[in-house]
Amino acid sequence: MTEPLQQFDWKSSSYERPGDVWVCGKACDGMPCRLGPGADGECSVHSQCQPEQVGDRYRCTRSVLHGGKCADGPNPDGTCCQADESCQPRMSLLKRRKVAGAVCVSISLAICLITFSDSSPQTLLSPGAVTSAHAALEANCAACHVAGEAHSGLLSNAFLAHDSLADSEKCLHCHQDIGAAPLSPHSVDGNALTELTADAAANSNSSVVSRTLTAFIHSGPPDQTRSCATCHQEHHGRSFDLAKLSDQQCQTCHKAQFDDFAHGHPEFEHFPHATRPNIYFDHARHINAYFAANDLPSHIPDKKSLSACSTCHKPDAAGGMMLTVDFQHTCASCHESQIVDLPFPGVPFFAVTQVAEQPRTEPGEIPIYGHWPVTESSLREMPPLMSLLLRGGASGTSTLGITPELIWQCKQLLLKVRNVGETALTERLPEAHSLLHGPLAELGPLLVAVSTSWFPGLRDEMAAHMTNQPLPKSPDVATPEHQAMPPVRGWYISDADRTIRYRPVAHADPVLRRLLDYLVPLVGSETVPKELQELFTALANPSGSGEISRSGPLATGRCLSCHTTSTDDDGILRVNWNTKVPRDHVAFTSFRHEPHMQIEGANLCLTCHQILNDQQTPEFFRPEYFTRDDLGRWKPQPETSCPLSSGFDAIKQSHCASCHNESTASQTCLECHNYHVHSP
Amino acid sequence: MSQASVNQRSIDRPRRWDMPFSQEAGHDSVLTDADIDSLLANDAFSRIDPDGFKRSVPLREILRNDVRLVDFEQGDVIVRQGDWGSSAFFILSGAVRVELDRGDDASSGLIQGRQEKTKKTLFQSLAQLWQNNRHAEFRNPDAKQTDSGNIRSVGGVTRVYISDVSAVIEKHKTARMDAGHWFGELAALGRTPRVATVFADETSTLLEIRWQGLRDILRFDRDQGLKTYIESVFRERALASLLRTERLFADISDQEMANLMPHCRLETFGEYDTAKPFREMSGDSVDAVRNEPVIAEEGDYPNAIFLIRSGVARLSQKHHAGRRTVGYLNPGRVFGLTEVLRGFRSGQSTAYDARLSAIGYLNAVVIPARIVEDLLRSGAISDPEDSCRPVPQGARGTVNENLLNFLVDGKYVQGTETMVIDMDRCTRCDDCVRACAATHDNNPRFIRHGPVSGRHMVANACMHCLDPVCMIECPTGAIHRDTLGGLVLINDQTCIGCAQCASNCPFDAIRMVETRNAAGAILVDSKNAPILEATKCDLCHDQLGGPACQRACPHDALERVDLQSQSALEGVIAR
Amino acid sequence: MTNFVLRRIIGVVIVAVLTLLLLVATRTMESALLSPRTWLGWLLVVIVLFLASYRVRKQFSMLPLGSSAGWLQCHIYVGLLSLPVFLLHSGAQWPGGLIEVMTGLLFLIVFCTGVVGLILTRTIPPRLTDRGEEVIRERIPVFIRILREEAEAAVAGAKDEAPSEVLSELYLRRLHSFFQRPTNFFSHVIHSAKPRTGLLSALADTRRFLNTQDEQTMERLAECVRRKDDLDYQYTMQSLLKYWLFLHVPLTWAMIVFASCHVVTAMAYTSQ
Repeated sequence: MTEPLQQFDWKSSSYERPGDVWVCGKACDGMPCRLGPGADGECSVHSQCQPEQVGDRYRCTRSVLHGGKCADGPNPDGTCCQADESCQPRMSLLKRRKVAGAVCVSISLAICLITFSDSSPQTLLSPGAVTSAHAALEANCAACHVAGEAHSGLLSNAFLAHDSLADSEKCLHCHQDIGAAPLSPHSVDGNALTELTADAAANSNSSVVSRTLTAFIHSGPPDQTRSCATCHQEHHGRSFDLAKLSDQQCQTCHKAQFDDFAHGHPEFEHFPHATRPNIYFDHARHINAYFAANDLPSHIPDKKSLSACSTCHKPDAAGGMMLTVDFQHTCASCHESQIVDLPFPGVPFFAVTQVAEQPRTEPGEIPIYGHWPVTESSLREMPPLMSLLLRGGASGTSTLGITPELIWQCKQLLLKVRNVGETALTERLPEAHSLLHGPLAELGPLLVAVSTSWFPGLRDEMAAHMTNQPLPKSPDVATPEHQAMPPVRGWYISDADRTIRYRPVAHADPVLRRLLDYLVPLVGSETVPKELQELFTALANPSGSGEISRSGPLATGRCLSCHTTSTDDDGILRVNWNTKVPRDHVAFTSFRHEPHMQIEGANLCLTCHQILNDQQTPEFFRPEYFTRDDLGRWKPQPETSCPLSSGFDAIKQSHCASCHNESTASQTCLECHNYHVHSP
Repeated sequence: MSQASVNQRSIDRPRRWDMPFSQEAGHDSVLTDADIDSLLANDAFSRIDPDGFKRSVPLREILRNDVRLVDFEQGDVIVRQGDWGSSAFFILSGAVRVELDRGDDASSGLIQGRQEKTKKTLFQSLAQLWQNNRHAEFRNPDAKQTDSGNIRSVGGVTRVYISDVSAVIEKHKTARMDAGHWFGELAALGRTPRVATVFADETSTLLEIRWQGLRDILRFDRDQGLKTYIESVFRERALASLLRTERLFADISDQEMANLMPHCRLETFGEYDTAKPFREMSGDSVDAVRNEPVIAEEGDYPNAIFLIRSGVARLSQKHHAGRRTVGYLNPGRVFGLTEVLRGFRSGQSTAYDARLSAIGYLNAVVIPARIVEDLLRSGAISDPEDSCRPVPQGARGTVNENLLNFLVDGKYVQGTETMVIDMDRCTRCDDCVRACAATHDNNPRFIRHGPVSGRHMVANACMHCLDPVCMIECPTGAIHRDTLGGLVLINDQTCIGCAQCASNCPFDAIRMVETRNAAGAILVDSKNAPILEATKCDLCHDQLGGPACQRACPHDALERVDLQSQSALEGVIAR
Repeated sequence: MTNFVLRRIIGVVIVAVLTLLLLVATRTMESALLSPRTWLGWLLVVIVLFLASYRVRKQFSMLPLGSSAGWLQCHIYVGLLSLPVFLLHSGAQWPGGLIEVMTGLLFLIVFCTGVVGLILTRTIPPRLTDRGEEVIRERIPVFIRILREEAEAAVAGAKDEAPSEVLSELYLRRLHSFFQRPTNFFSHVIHSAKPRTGLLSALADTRRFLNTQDEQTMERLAECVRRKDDLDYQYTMQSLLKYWLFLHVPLTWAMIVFASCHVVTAMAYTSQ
């Protein structure tokens, strides 16, 4: 068995010193010296021994560790005979590793210092490409980051004075149209947010666990501002979608949490509209009965089938909301004739009314009221506006017929109108609204005309009356034979019953409109003269028609049969002349019809907008429109108490979920909801 | 060629008696010739023939340099139970008391003042990081000799004293010894802890002799009178207390002890004084097994039990043509009790299960079997099963027999802090050596090489043996046993670099180094020869947290194993 | 004694559980708009500093700071955990800026070298124990010199005898450079026995040209070759055990420099 290479005894093996920095340079040749280099890296072998002088000779004093005395002994001059065996010490492996570490650190520091120096492009610091929308800003860090303005404040920016909202302000330099308070949740701040939160909290049906978790994660009032970067994280590449957030991220602030749209999303309330429509339109009857019959005259362009919703409803420019096409292109074909109401005589505004308490007169005797060309079919009651005019705006007791005093007032008025025009009328109604001026102005010329034709000797008669002279005899006015109703729209003079009447010219008749605009707010008030009430009844009463006494289901023009009234923000009742136009600002929920209408199908709209077929009242009229007060006066029903509906069932969440569910992967929150809203 | 770096400063090479015992450890007296004459006239030394002594070690010089005369006041504690002592005492005048209580009965008042090891503080420990000398093996040539013992100083010498002697005497059992008696010789010579606390009963003058001096006297005294005296004294005084400290006889009554004692023999097997047997035996392990002194043979009738007092014994069984080591016994364990017990219980004849042989030397108390049976009958011996078990038991897992043989044959079983490195896990990273250097002024104290068996290496690091043979030949006692822990330490200040310990250590644990000064130049004596000193592992006795090597190994590869401990050994060989 | 297998299982399970927890926490935080990347980044800072502190702890073996083995176990498992933390922090995407690229690249290199180092430290030591005499790496050149001298003495032959020409020629041609220094590094990395068998068979091939005495010399030479090859193997393997740290440790410091700059930049520029 050969001897082992490593001997263990103390003479053969001395300590290894792995912690030393320097190693003998001869080690790699296999002949390291025992002494090893000094701590400073110089070889400690200068001579093998220090010869000792003994008498005149020298003695080798090499220690036993180095082999003991050498064979040759020192040179005669006292120097050691052994050659200089010094080496070039080398670094130990551990030391080399430490040097390598120092080199690596130096290089790294150099690279970092270069990167942070002002002469380096700032893009070196960018952790990733920005989205293509911001690509133009990429080289300018300061466009979005406060810290990018100068390198010097980097450390203090990092730990001391970091204000993340300051960076958000930079976003808002360009993005200016994302709501009133863009850093607030949903861009809504203050009281509005608190109200909305309270509303939502009341309806929460999410589990205790998710609510507790949410409360834990987002403790704090709901009006805390959050920086833009909370949701929008840049530097993720050119094609990254900055606005994409997951459903969980949307829900994290909401106490009402659920798995996905199809499972757990709260039911829609009053979707799409919570308020009543402006125009009453019984979709059910129209679609099921009238349109289905398809035998009504159609003036609709393109001659589309009446049963298609798109006939009357067209999308707006953006394809979002559906707008109702105007009357001319939709309803007019059936309803124009009803509005014009030709079979009906129209509302009288001036009538040679039969005289009340007709005194006995001899034949040929001129009555005290002079010439008053009553006919057989003259009205028994004065038209309300005429009554008001003659009384100077004051209300009068209702009597059947006209009194002689009022006849003279009338004649006076006629003369005045002949002389000065309609100002004679307007000055008699000092409290009249400017809305009445139009109709009165149109009435004026007609009064002039009748004053000539029916009261030929008016001037003389008036002069005689004023001077208390006996009244002259007026020439007779011919009584026309029974005439058929002239097919006239607008103002017309009816000789047969000596009235000036008004028939609606067309839909959106201006006279009726102004009159209704004037009357509707006043109606029901105690101080309103009863004449105005009567006029209103004539125009709006569902049972009135032209004449007060005549009962019937239709009012003149039938305006309020279709146009509802609503209380506006001032608390004043107004007529809704136009259909609702959807809001044009960004709301919490956004729905666009257009993508949904790409699908072919005649009755596609009915998929979501389901007609309520079980409505109770089959009549055309909704009697809830008007109520009678204690005095029997008609009043339009104010908005809130009238359960008017469009005839469609509210859209349920399940309707939407039938398409927006897991299988079509179109049920993220952001599909329908916006975060940044412009107003609640 | 510059010679300045080598020839910095010459100092005298230290010698054995540079520091007389009388001037060591705070004492400051000199033995005059008159003192020596009076000593030689004393009964203790009068019969010793000075001619038997070597010329380099004359009796007079032994007495001058290895002896000191110490005065004690009443109450001064001279030795404490449990201390590792290296000197014996002879009472010249006055009297002392020896405490006889053992174990929990011993008065804590006598133990007061036991010095804690002076460990480094946290800051001192940390300071090693920057205070360690850059140069190798730096020694401060100006450093005064410091204490190697742990003694408090009261005017030059430290004493621990008992304030109320009479109370102690009343409370505890003590025996009084007058002038003309020896004590402490057994602990000094046997390299075992002090068995009893001894304090002065009145003002006394004691002769204290280093064990090296006592050893030389015993060796060269042709009359052998002192030796006989020592042995008879042992039986009279020490045997009982020794037996009582053994777990086996802990519950024995005084009467039974009195019956037992006359029958006990203290026997020594093998070579006691030198390291020769170790060096011889470390050559060929096969022959070693055959040549070990046999104490009890396998198959013989068990007529005695052997209570191991010091040394290590091997248990072997015949296996084919050779012998197979099945275990080893260290001090405190008993051989033969299992067989006696078996015979006692079954009533049938039995035989020793294995051969008992001494590894190097063995010091055992031999007790006849019939006495043991009497004690078993009376129930005096408690828990006999436990003492019997050799190391290892082998119950848990498989015992790696090759490793066991390797450890026993190589005498590594002596070690209480054997460095065992699992070479299958060691990455040769040298973190252990660097940690050792960090705790020793940048000087490692072991080398990561040594004999290998299978996957285990027993590195050449001091094992702090039970019986440190390195201490045998040291002329100055620089290599000594720490008074409290039993660690073997080298006192730098008194080491003269004779290399006896390094040559004697059978495990190559001690290395000689050239010492350097602050400039890194090697210290040389007047003859320009480098001054060597012995160095070895000191188990980081002054460091917080114990041996740094073990703590520094990242891979659980290095461990300091106490091979006397059952569980530690099993942990290594059953891993 | 430690049960290593059990310890490994426990460590892996803990790392797996923590990874899962981190994943869940990250997803939850993302849903909660809480910027998990910042938290993960700081966690990574803590982890890296803890891992690097192991090197510092090695300087402090004189203090009872816990065993180096325990620290290494923590280092390994926390190091393994650092990869999922890094992936979660970076979103498993490659970054764009110079500093981020350098930090990420260096981190991955350090991680991979750490894993490689772990494998090396567990696979190489048994191989070293199994082969040849256990030697200290720094002393290998000394042993090579001893073998070289022995081989040269063998070839030179006894004092009064002529050396074998065949062996001398073979020695000069193939063995001289072999015995100069540690050789065949890369062959030993892949545990190839080709150089050894090549030389031994070259020696064996000369047998037919040798007399008895020279055959003995050849056997001696062959023994020297075997031992030298074992030394080469020891040298290679022990060197590998030291060289991997040349990547792992210095690059860690470089990574820490870049990572510090990244922390400052990210904290300064974050808009959240």
